[in-house]
Amino acid sequence: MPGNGEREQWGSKIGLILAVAGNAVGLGNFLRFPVQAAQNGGGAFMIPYFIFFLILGIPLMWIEWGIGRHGGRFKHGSAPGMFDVLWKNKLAKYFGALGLFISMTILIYYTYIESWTLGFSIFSASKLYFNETTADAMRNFLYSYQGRAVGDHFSSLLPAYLLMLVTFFLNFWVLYKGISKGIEKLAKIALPLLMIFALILAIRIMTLGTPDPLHPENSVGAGFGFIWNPNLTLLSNPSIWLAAAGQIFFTLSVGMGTIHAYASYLKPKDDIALSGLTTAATNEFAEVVLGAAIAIPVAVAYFGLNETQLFAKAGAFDLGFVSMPLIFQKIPLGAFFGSLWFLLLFFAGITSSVAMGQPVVAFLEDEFGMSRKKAVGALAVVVMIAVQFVVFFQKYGFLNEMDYWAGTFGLVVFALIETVLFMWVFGADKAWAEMNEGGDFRIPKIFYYLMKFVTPLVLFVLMIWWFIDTAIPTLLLNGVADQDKPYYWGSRILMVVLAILILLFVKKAWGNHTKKNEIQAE
Amino acid sequence: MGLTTGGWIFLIIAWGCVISLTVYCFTRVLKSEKERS
Repeated sequence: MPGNGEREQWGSKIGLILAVAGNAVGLGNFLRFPVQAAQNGGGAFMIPYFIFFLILGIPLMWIEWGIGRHGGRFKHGSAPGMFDVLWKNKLAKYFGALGLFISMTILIYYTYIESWTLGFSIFSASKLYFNETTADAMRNFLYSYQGRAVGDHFSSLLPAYLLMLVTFFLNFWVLYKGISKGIEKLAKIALPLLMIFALILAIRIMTLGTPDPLHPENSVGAGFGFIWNPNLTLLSNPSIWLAAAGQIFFTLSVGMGTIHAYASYLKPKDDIALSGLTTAATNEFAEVVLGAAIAIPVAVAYFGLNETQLFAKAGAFDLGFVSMPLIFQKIPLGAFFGSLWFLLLFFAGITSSVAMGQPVVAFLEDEFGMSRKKAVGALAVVVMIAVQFVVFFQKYGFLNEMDYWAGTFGLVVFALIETVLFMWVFGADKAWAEMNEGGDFRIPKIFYYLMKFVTPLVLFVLMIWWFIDTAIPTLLLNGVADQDKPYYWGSRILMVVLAILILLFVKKAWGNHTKKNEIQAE
Repeated sequence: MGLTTGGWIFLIIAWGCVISLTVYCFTRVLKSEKERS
C-alpha cells in the first residue's frame, strides 16, 4: 500500500477487468434475469434486452469508466471529487455524494444477504435441510434462519448473525489489503471459480433431461422453452421494454459509483474502451448463457411450469433459496451441487460487495489523507452499526426499504446525473476524447450520439416511470402492514442519517481543501 | 412444451452473440497484454 499521497494501481489489465466484471456479476445474474425473461415474453424479451444493452448498458459502462479515470487523474477516487472536476460548481460535489450514499447503503444490506449464501452452502454440504421436502417446509427453514419464523433447525438468529460476521470480516479484510493485493487478487480467484461452478451446474442441469418419466411435460427442455420461446405479441407492451431496461441497468451494476472508483486507479493513457466492453460482455455471458441455464430450467424439470411460475412470482429469493434446495435433495450428489450453487452465489456476492466499499474508502483516503487502514476501519464501524438494524428488523421489511431507495430508485437518479454531467456539462467532445484516450480500439462514432442523446433520455423515462409506478406507492407505504410501518420509517431515518453524515463529510473535505489552497497561496 | 423453432432461434442468436463478443474481447485483451509485456 503506497503512502505519501501516492495512489495505488491495478497489478494488471486483466485483473482490473475481472474486478469490474466481478462487481457486475452478482446474485441478479443467476436469480433475477431468468425470472425477468420468463415473465416478460421469453425469447422476445431478448429483443428489448439487447437493444438496451447497446443504448444504455454499454454507453453507461464507458461513461463510468471515463468519469473514473478522469477523476483519478486529479487524485479523486470517488464521485464527489470526480463530479467536482467535471463541473466547476459548488453543488457538483454534493451530487457526487449520492454515489457514496448508494454504494454504502447497498453494502450494508448486501453483506447480510451474501452471508445467507455462505450459510446455505454449509447447510447444503452438511445436508441440514435435506428433510425439508416441500416448498412450505423449505420456506420455513429459510425464514427460521432469518429469524422470521420459528423452525426446528434454528431457535435464534445466532447462526445468521455469526455468518454475517464472517462475511463482514472477509469483505473488510479484502478491502484492507488494497486494490492490487486485495480486490484484484479476490477477483482473479473468485470470478473464474464462479464461472467454473456455474458451468458445472449448467452442464449437470442440461443433462438431467426428464427426471420423472411419469411427467414427460416436466423437462429441462420445457424449462428452456419457458425462458426462450418468444411471445412477440408482448413487444407492443411498454412494460416489457421498461423491464428489459431495468434488467440491463441492474445487471451491469451501473449508477452506484463503484466502477468510477475502480477506474480511478488507471493511468491516464490506459485503455478503457476495450476494458469496459469486455466487462460488459463477461457480465452478459454470466447472465444470458449461464444464468439462464440453471435455476429456471431445473425448476421446471422438477416442479413443472405452474409451480415454477409461482416460485418466479414469489421473487428471486424463493427461486434461489427455496426451490433450488428442494431440487438438490432430489438429484444425485445433491449436497455437492447445492454447496456449489450457493458458493457460486457467495463469490458473485463478495466480488460485488467489496466494490461497494471501495468508493467510501477512496473518499476518505483521497479527500482526508487517511491511511487505508483507518479508512477501512471507519467504514467498517459505520457498516457494523447499521447492519444490526438490517439483521434484527429484516422480518419487518427494513431491508426492502433500503433496497428500494438506494438499490433501485437511487441508481437511475445517479446514472442520469452522471450522464448529464459528463456528456452535457463537461462536454460531449471532451468526454468522447477522454473515453477514447489510450483505447485499444476506437469506440464507434454512433455511441457518441447514443451517449449524448439516447442514454440520458432512456434514463429520464425510466426514472419518471419508476417514480410514478413504484416510488410514490413505496413512499406512501402502500401494502405495508401497520405493525411494520415504524420499521419502514426507521429504515428511512437511518438512510437520512447516513446521507447527512456523508454530506457533512463532503463539506468538511472541501473546507479542508480550501484552507490548504489558501495556505499554499500564502 | 419444449423449445419451439422460434425459441431455438432466439437462444442460438442470443448465446451466439454473447459468446462471440466475450471471446473476441478477451482475445484482444490478452493480445494487448502480451504485446505490452
